[in-house]
Amino acid sequence: MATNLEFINSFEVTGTVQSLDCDNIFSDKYDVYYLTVALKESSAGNDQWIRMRLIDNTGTVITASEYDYAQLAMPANTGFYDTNRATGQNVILYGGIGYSDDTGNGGSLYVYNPNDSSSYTFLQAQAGSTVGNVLFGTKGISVHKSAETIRGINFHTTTFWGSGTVNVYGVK
Amino acid sequence: MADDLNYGYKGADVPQSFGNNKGVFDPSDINNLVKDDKWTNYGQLELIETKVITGDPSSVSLDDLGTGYNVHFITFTNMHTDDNRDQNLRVKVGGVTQTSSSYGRAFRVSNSAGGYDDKDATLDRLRILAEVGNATGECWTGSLYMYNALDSSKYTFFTTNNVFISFHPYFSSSFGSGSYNVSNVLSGLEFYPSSSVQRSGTISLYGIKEYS
Repeated sequence: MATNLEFINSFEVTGTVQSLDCDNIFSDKYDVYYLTVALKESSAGNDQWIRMRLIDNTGTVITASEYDYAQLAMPANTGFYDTNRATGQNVILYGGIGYSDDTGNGGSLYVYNPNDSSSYTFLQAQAGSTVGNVLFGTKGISVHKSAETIRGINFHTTTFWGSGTVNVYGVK
Repeated sequence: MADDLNYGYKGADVPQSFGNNKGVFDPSDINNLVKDDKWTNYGQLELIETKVITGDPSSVSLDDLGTGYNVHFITFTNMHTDDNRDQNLRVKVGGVTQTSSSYGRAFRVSNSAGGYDDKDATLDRLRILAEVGNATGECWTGSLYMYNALDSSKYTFFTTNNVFISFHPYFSSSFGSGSYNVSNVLSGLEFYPSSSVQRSGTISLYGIKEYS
């Protein structure tokens, strides 16, 4: 019997894009999913947060105001702050998966109960990235406050990614 | 019954990929699929090396990061140093430990006294955690993810989660991030305390396998 992480799919940035759909990744096979997120901006100095939305069981990106989130921001050159939090939002702006810069980033995202139609979907992320060549650490939590079946996740930015990969694993 | 196709019996050459193997395969077919990274074999947390610390070394190195991994996972079990020591990490490039001031760290410590934030944007090492105790039962244990270590176009980033008993002694936890702000391919990692030696512990390095 296989254990630990089981690879599900890989999604790669091709060309210059603002959005990356990771669709058809959640199923009844797992309750918990682990995603590695490494996205790199196409040019220097943009430094935008990586935003997230979930994809429902019809393949539609959910834009309703159903997301809550809270994040601890940990810049390496000044004080940490936990004011990145909000309820009833239409996007997970501060979910802990960090900035993307032209130096790349590295983050881990756990997703809980996405396939359970009777449960909210919870997310937890931790990441490292740079802003102006200074480390910017993040740790965040978020929730989609609608009990429904979720089949995927969308990552997007207000600038552009030139490369990057999101890998999805089931936690066995 | 093998045939002249690379994977499987005679007939249409069915496209094969991880999670999508179709047909009946003999051992030779499976060997070919494994070689070409197209065989479905679940268990993508792949152990590269486990190092058990003995003999009080001044540092401990992991000199094989494997190939093809964008994310590594490292576990630390029952790590002992001398009293009130920091646990540090440096990366290696071409087998050489990197000592330039290119490391950033930012982590939060929570403990029974309240905790504190620990940060530095330009240091010559990555401090994973600080103030570890060494009285009976005092040690640290935790895990670390490392991103982009084998990618020449990106910085290497780290995220950590640890629990430990400090020298005070406070039962403590820490979480945070780190970076090596040079776009380079790493060849290894070196762990060492702020002074003296690594007393004992176990470090395991895993690669998180992916498929294109």
